[in-house]
Amino acid sequence: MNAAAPTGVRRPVAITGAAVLGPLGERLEDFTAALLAGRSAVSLTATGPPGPAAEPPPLAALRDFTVAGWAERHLADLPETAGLLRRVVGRAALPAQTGACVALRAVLDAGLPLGPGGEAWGERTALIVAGGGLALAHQARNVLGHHLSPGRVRPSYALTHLDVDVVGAASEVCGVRGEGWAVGGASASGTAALIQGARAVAAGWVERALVVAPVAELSPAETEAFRRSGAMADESWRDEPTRMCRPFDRDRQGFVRGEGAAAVLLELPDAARSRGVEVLAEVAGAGQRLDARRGTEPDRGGQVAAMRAALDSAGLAPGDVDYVNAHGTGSVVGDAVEAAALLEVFGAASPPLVNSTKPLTGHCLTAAGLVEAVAVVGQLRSGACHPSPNVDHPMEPALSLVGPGAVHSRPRTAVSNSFAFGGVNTSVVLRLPHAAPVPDLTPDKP
Amino acid sequence: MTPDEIFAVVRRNLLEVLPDLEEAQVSLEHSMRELGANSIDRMDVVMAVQDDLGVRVPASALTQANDLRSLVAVLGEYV
Repeated sequence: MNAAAPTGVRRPVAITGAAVLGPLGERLEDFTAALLAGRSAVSLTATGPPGPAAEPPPLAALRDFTVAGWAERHLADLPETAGLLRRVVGRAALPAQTGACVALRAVLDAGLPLGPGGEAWGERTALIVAGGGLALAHQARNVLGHHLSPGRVRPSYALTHLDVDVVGAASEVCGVRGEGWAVGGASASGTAALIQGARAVAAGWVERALVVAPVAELSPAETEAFRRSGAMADESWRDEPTRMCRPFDRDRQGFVRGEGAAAVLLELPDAARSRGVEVLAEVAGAGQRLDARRGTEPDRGGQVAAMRAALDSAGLAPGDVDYVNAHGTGSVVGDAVEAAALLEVFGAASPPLVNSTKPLTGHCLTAAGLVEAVAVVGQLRSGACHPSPNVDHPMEPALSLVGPGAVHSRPRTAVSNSFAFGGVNTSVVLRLPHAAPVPDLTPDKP
Repeated sequence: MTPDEIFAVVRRNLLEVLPDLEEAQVSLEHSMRELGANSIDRMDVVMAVQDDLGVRVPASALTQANDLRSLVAVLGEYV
């Protein structure tokens, strides 16, 4: 693909911190273990948002999250940082709260110092936040509250309705002072932000990039619009909510939303080595393509072009890929188009293993791409691909879908896809560093 | 309305905005900044207090207040 060169990352970029915040775990290890066990966080929301929908929608909900509780679990040894976190986002909207927390986790996991005297690294670090229109529920509460009693709106809403509040919050708690902004690409935002971070580091514009995908909110209005558009799983398997999201299954019925956040710390492999920290995985290639068509319909050509651009920029052939983390939302049309695109890129002779993380985490919308990149890192490092628990009748037999159990196939090179409304197609190549030992594959059970 | 009553309204709103704060820490001698309120916190407190008291104080008058005692005094002129 001669058009691929401009979108690539040119040289591998190391991931030295990979963090999540969601119902399946708050550390890479817990999250990976939950994925490999095929555990799904999807349930029917007990207290659904008020609206005309008769039944609550399924949701992989972030339950009982509070900033103070998170700080107690993660910052027990860092009381100053815990105090700062509570002060900065104690009453911020959920995206800023989750973004600040998960960003701190990534910085800590990358072995970078926090607090007074520890911010030197922050001067040459970029902060890239994934998503646009993040605090929609917060916005709806303020708009409805203002309608009911004008004059009670808090002045701080001037700040808290903006995506950039996440930039401010995460940069303050982590001490990041390089460039920073929010990348909006709907469901592809997480992957687009990862690509922007990797490019900035690969190009030498910054020494490090902290890429943060906060929990994306929906208000009851967006939820109902998704339901009425037919894009959201709503009707079947309501007595078994974990079965409702069924990517690549014949009986799929739409996506199930998830609440999850993720963050990664990126730097050049040499910089990681000179600090003596482990390279968890590398971003080896990236591709982005537009369909040049407004709307919600996916386009096979754009998806194929994005995947090929990612492989070309990594200097890899399709046969080098062991595993694909599909966008795979469970959408009736979307999965069919992605399956066709995967077959076009990888062929049917010896295709890579394919799964989708969304039946387990739900579709984390603007955070999905980064949550799934972290899922890929966890799987590569454990030498296994997580189950696809709901593929009872594969819609496309030529796809090599992971089945109901994890497959310990020792994948080293993976592609992760994120596609979005607006004709946005993004793919990244993630791989274990060359020097990484072959993972210990001893499964817990035979 | 007495200054004590106005101060109670200010303190209640300040504690709502800064949940980490102990009630005993809030005295008339402190400024909101000293108590850990950033610019956006201070705006929220001052607006919520005015809402609760049913008054509107011009911003020019509020900027004169540099601790809670003078804030209570400014508010007292409008109650």
